[in-house]
Amino acid sequence: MTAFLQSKLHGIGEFLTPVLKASKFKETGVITPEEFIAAGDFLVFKCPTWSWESGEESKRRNFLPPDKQFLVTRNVPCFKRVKSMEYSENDERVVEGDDWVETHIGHESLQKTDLQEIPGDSSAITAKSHASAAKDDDDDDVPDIEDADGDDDDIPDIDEFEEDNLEACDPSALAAPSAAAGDADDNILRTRTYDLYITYDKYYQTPRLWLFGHDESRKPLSVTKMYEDFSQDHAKKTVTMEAHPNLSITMASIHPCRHSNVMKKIISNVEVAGKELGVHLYLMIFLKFVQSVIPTIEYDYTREFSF
Amino acid sequence: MAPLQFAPFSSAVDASFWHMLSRQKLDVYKLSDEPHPVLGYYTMGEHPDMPARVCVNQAAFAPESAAASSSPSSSSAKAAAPTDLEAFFAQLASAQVASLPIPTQSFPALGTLFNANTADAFKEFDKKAMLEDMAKKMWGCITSGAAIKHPALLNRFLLLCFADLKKYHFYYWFAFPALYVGELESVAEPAPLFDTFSASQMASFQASHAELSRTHPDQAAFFLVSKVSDDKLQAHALADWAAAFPAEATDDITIGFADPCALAKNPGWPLRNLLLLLSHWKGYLNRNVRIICYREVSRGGELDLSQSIVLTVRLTPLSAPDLAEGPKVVGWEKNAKQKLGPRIVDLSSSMDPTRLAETAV
Repeated sequence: MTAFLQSKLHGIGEFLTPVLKASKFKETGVITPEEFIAAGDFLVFKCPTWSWESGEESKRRNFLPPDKQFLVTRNVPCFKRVKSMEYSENDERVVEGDDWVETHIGHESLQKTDLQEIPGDSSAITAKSHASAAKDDDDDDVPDIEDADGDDDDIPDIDEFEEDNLEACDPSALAAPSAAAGDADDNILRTRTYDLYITYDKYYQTPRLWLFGHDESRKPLSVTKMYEDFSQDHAKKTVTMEAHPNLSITMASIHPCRHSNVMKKIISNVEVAGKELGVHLYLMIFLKFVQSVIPTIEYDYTREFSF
Repeated sequence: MAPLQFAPFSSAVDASFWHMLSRQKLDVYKLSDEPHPVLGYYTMGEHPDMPARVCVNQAAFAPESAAASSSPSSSSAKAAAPTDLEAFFAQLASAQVASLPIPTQSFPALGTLFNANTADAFKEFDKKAMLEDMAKKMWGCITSGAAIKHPALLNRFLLLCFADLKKYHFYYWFAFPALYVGELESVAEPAPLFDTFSASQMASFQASHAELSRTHPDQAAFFLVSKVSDDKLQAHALADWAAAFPAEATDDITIGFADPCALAKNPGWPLRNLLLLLSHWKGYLNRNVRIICYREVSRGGELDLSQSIVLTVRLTPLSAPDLAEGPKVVGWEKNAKQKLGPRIVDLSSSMDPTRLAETAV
């Protein structure tokens, strides 16, 4: 309930916070909506898998242009679960201060042969996520969406809707692999995918990352399943479920309360090194540091980019 | 040689699409079961382990809403459904892609949505007849030449839905119609792009395709490729056949399409309708045609073409009976169990306002 109130209060706070006009990017790590647009344009230019969208007309925010309300990249593969990655302290690097840790730094892109889905262990999930997950699991009156095999009690059985004779077998169609893992003839690996959104958070005056996950057969992932793809250090404290500001859908979001601090530290480190960081690079750096929360989601950003 | 097998499309529906469908159902469609146009898109194949997808999101309804609000007779809800869907699609297919609400570097897929009022009505849709009807319209676009001018008319889908608005359950079934007259064989083994073309040829082609996408975005999904000189290739719109291949007898016919599939041996679904178009239009040439399955992927700030492949097929004329009866059609999407059946999605946890409060706890 606290988080619910917090989210409501955040809404009110955001309403009352004036839109940031003058650039405070270097001193505080926050950005103005104009700087958000500039950084977003640069991201779209460098990584065209990202694009601007306008979302729902009734939810447009007037401090952003109608056609540039938020950034999105869809169907980003997530080949394996965070916990299935072998992990040691050597794979970690403290990004800045003690707030963010870049994880799995030694891990290269994944080979297909390495990939085995490890069933999630929800017992690792604690605090508020655990509370809501438990609710999902226990309350039979509430339909939930996490049953991967489709035998959910609350979802109507649609086997009777099948029409095997609807069309003849088509020899020119490549047969899809079965959804079951381990089929040796699979030439397409079924994998989870995520849609990633970046909005501008007016209250924290930083970008904010949102995630909507789909399972191997493109069904929405439940909260519990999504937590398998978040770094366990962050899943407990930094990821919350909230309504996307431009779409009437609840999704996971990385809470932006620490973002400006981390950005400020990165900026001052760069300045100590005698270089200047343009505000257009803001989202590239942002994506690089949020990767520590979602190490297995393979979105496009310029990997060669260095601070 | 081996029969050519095409990787089917898979559907990818954003939760925001279902939210918008619920709203359209309540505000606009109401109890009407008229077909409505929706706009989807696909991108070039990125990863061999990822299926080729046609995506729809909340913006899928935007073209129809825009048309309805600009039409003078939009006062009644019924007027929102364009009376002539084919004319509406022709308009969309000729639109500058940049003006369509789809992501950059994606290609439009024109959808026809039928929304049932009850689960029973959804079940009783005459699916066979609906797909055949769509195939007939697509065949009409091929024989009239409209699809040569506006190749996006070849990329269609059918979407049957039932929205259970009380439970936030959505039933749906996609079909991606592929028209064909028989099995196609590949004359040569599918080969990596760079085995067939040199790096300088591909660099010039890439620049010329980018130019075509900029000047004629509606022509970027299906195109012709001519050889200007030994190290220079050029992309042309389909309708510019005479400019691309001035000597009709040439043995060097190369065409291409933006391929949503990334497999090393198989082309994606859109090629099927393109090949049928070519058989009808240029089949009399009776010769081998090279096909570039073009996969331009952005990776770490660079554009990578290396996943593209080249196929060779024999272009043959359609026989008289084929022409009389029209081509056959397939394309219903299989469900997660690989059966011909609809899918169902439960969005109560991300759409139900009472549940929204709960998940925030």
